[in-house]
Amino acid sequence: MEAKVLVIGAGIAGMETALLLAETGAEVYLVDKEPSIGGSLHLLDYTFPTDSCGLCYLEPYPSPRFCPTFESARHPNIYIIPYAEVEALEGKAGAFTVKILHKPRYVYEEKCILCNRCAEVCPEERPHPYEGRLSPQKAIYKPHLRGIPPTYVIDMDYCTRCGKCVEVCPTDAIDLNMQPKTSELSVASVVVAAGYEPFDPAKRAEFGYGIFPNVLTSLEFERMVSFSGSTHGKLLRPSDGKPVRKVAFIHCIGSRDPAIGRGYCSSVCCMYTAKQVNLAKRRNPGLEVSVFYMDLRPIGKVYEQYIRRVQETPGVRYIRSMVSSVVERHPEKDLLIRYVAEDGSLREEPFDLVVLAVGFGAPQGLEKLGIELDKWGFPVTKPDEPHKTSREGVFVTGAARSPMDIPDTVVDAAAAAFYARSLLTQPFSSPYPILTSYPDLVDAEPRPGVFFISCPELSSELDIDALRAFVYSAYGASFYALEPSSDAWDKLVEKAKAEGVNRLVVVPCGLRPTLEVHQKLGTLGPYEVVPILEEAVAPLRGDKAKATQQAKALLGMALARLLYLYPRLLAKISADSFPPEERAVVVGAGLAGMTAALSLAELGYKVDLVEKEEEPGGLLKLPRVVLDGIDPAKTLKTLVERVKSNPFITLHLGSEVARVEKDGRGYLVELSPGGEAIRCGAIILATGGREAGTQQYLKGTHPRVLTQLELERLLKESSPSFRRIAMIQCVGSRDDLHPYCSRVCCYNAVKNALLLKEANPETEIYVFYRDIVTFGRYEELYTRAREKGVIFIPYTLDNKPKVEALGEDKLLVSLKEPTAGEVKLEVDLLVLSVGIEPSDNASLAEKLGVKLDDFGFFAEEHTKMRPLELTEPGVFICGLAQGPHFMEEVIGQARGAAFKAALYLKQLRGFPETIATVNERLCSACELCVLACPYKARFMDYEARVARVDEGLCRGCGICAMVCPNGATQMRAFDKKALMAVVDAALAS
Amino acid sequence: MKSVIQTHGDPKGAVVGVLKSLLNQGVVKAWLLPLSGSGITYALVRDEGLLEKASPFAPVMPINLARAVSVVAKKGGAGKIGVLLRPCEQRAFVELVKFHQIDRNSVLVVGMDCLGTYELKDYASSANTALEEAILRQFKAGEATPYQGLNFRKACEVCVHFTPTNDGGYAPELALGLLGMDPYEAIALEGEPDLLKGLGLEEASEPPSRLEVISALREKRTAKRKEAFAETLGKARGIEGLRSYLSTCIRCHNCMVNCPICYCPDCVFRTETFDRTTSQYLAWAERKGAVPMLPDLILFHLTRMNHMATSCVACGMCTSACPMGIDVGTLFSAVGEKVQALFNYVPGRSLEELPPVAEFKEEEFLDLG
Repeated sequence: MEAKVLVIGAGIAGMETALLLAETGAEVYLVDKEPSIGGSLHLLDYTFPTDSCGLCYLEPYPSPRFCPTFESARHPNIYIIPYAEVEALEGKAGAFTVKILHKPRYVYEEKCILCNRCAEVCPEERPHPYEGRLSPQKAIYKPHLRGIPPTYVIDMDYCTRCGKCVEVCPTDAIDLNMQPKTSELSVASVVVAAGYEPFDPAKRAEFGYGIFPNVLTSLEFERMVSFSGSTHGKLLRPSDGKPVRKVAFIHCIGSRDPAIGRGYCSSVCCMYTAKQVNLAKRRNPGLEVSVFYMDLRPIGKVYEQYIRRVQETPGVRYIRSMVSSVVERHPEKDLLIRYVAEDGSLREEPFDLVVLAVGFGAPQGLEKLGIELDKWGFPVTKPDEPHKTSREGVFVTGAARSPMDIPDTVVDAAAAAFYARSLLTQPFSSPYPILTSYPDLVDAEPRPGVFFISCPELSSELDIDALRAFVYSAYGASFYALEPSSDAWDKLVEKAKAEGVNRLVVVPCGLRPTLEVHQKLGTLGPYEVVPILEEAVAPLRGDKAKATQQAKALLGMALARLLYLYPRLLAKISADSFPPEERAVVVGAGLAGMTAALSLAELGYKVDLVEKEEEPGGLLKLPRVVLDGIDPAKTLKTLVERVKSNPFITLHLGSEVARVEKDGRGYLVELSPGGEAIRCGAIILATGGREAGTQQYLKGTHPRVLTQLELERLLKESSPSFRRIAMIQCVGSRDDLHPYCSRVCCYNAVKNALLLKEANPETEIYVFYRDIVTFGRYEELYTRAREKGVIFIPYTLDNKPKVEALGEDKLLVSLKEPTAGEVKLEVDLLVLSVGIEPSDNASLAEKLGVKLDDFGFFAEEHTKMRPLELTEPGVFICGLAQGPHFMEEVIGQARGAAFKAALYLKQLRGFPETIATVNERLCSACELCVLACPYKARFMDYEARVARVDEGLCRGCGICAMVCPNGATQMRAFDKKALMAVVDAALAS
Repeated sequence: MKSVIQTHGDPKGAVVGVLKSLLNQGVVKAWLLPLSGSGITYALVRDEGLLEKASPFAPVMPINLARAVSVVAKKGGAGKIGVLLRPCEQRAFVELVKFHQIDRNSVLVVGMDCLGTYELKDYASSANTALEEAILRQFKAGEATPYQGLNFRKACEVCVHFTPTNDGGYAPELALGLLGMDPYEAIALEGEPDLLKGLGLEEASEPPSRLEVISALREKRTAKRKEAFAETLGKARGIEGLRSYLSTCIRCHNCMVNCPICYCPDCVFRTETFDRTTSQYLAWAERKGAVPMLPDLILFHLTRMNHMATSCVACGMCTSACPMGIDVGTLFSAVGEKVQALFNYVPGRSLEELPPVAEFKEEEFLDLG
């Protein structure tokens, strides 16, 4: 059986899936159609709701968390295949053969030294795909600043084959006759992570995109508000470069539009627009902003608050409306938006700039995979296995499955990794070996050496003799120049060994050391790789003296660090001194908990499943009616049977977590009653949630007022008949008490309305709503409900419906309408859509030392990039414990959390390069480090009166070293002495 | 509980009587306090007879006694040590407890009002009983005028924390109230009811004039302090100002050795972190033409300031210890006051408040970007 996985698409979903799989020891081919990997990630300087850069979620830990693009490129188990497409997929699950088409770049990656001379002489321009018309690219271009691979590529649509680039290239890296190639791969499973195709708004000509220069897509505007974009964050009109004063955003371009065959909601545009409004206001506080929308869909936990904050910003108007057209006015090139307002009147208003919030379409080319696609081009999946396509062994994840935002994509990637991994037979192996395993150098005399791979670029732009003299006189370092060649690394290692060099500074040309090279270098001693080409030569091209000076500073810094490291901090520590406990505890045996436990068991781990009630099932036990989704009753039955019969799962019913103790190896979880103590390496919290209670709208006092769940019980148990029903949405959701959207209630209301209509088409149903939040494919149901005659009436927080009792079996629901006077409805049933709230998690959170968010759900470690992890390493969440979710989403989360827990259980603790260490003689036992450590890795040895480090818990963040006043605590290999020498070397330039 | 000790013309004798009684009752195992002999020495006194030599009112501070407390009572567990502390020593004591350099439960603190102290050498070369009596006579009116021809220590002249109790914050087990009183008649004693009862003292309130005297003195001192701080900060402004302020520093590290807050067993400046090689020095010399030797003068003072400014109790021992007469204390306490205000932190105010350096807040100083 092949132990390899093909991941199609190297955006967020693909990179995350690939990294997770690679960490388990699986080999992954990561194919992307673009010339460099990263997908949309490199376009986003800011991501909601934190408005922070989502790319470099810096964390010095040996897991793929620094920058996914970078990590994917350097992971030894990931083979990146950029600029390639899957031509055909043959075979079957466990033994697929993939035909790959490699598109020609016309530039040899291994030869290109990134000197940019080709682009300088290239006479042809191509429009930049995102930077708008303000910043064209040459026909030979580098995809983006930090693109991986970093090589240039030629766009043959614009190239005239004039040959100028070929002439000027110093390394003969350009070949205009390069041909496409094909290759074949053998894999066990396939993950489709091909992302999305942004809607081309030119298809809706009435919005003027492509005709009027001041109409932009949201991606183009995203680049404009980004400091890394072509205007460096300035809001300028493309037509005349003048500052923008008044901007309009139009929602749902290419979404919720059955007329053009896109009847689904793209799920993310409401939020990214809110973020862009926020950023635009930050760039220009006086900016006037209007947002034209139909419904707002803030479907994440904190999105409601975010969007509300944006709406309340002075100068921002949100206008519920239908935009009919955008026309340009002459000569100023302003844009006139014509729209139908909520009161039905036709209005128009001029703007300087119009931004179209384009929706997500299905990726192209999926038909080649032999999987069934729906009418929109997305793979067909089943509700209870939403990541499985119609073809066994082919899975789908991220926006390619259904439009979704980054946190959901990150969760989805973990779920996909679970499925793809389950087809590989080899067990999880420990993540790749620790990068640097220095020889024991405590007693060795430092012998520094600079290894200079001298490509023509470096040699011509730098004074090499001056560098050679400098490193010798200032640091006593020998200087070795090596020819750039494919075996340069081997030669380097040979040379270093022969010369006895044990502190290495490596200056690569365009060559980048692979992980294997890093490992080889590490066996020689501490080393630094100094990118002089990028950091001295490129920025100072043409000024040899300055570039040489800069190169000296860089070499000096590297040598200083290596030379002045305390040798004792380099003493080896054994990486396997912390054998992990290969057992997990799952708290809560509902849909999330049972799925997580079964998934872990499937991956070969023993699981203790703890449930406080006497029977497993959680919310699955509630009687529900089903239209097209998961059937809770059936699911309950299957899950309970499987859990009870699984030899890997121990079910603890009627039990709660009484106490948790932890150390570097894991946790000791004590249960009550009974006092049983379980040693485990990871914990998954699946504590679920519940329908929030309410006393609004006569609930609890009038027998004809039900919640949606009570209605479902009624429908399940009998076939009642009603003449007229009112439903009120957002009862106890999106208000001051529960300031978040509960995500599922609109779907449930629409589903129940449809079922009632199906049972009796005569029943009149009125739904009072604030925004109908049927995101993604659920939108179709909303469309269907309106077609079936369900009436939807909007209300606002300031103007809520009023309910009066009319005797025992009737109610009067009324709502003041701004235009149509007052709506008054006599109904014989009122159904309230109440929100979801979390279980009481406070005491469990305290025992585990983790935080709850403002609403009582567990607070993720990072809302964006680590939605299944808590701040406590080894503790994961899934299901309603994290926030409101649909059942199919809960399944994905549970699979993902199980996968991440399994990965964690295999992870080695400790990392010799960066963890903290204590010089006991200097320690004053003041405990500042203990107070400051965010990972509880610092503790006191009161007997010896010194602070110690739990090396299994230390994540190397360095905060303890910072608060320690006299350097008793320092970071291995980043000690103060060496760092001061580095600063000194930097100042020397 | 508040009470009053009648002194019958012998304030020292009356206080020593209290100390003896607590020793005999077994409340404390020994007293850590100033003894008079040839000059003043701090000593840990176990012998009741030797307590006769205790000199609680001698207006001098050879060291900040909190330092000695942290030597004697670091680990604790061997019974209670009684200690007589001036307000600045008491505040240093509180800080050191928070930094785990003193075991709180091993110490019984007797605090006291303080009008000021003289430099050790001035005290040693003077008629010291006269100095002591002169200052005791000034408590009633709260006027701190130094003995003729002498000056109080600089820190004392601008001290605004001259009482041992503060509202709602830390209070010592016993506090001797002298301000607004005539110590030759009576001394106010405030403290834990059990202790006072054990001493056979009844509940009694101090004269109302005491509070007035305190607030008048505080007002006068605050104005003086403001002036002194502004002047010093003006002098030491910028790197050039600082260089000139510290220009006579001879790197003896006495300021650090005598600072009660510098609790590290060894300063980072005396560790291998600052060991440099000949080639490093030569490289500097080559780069700059010449390098001062020994190096790291400004870096030492700035680093020390960075480490202790939030907890500086302004006791001025650094100034007293400086053989070159650099007024390190005024500079450090002026900077300390500013830094402490940023964190709304007053060193020594409370045992419960964490030192700012020990507390991580995610959202702080957002206006600094």
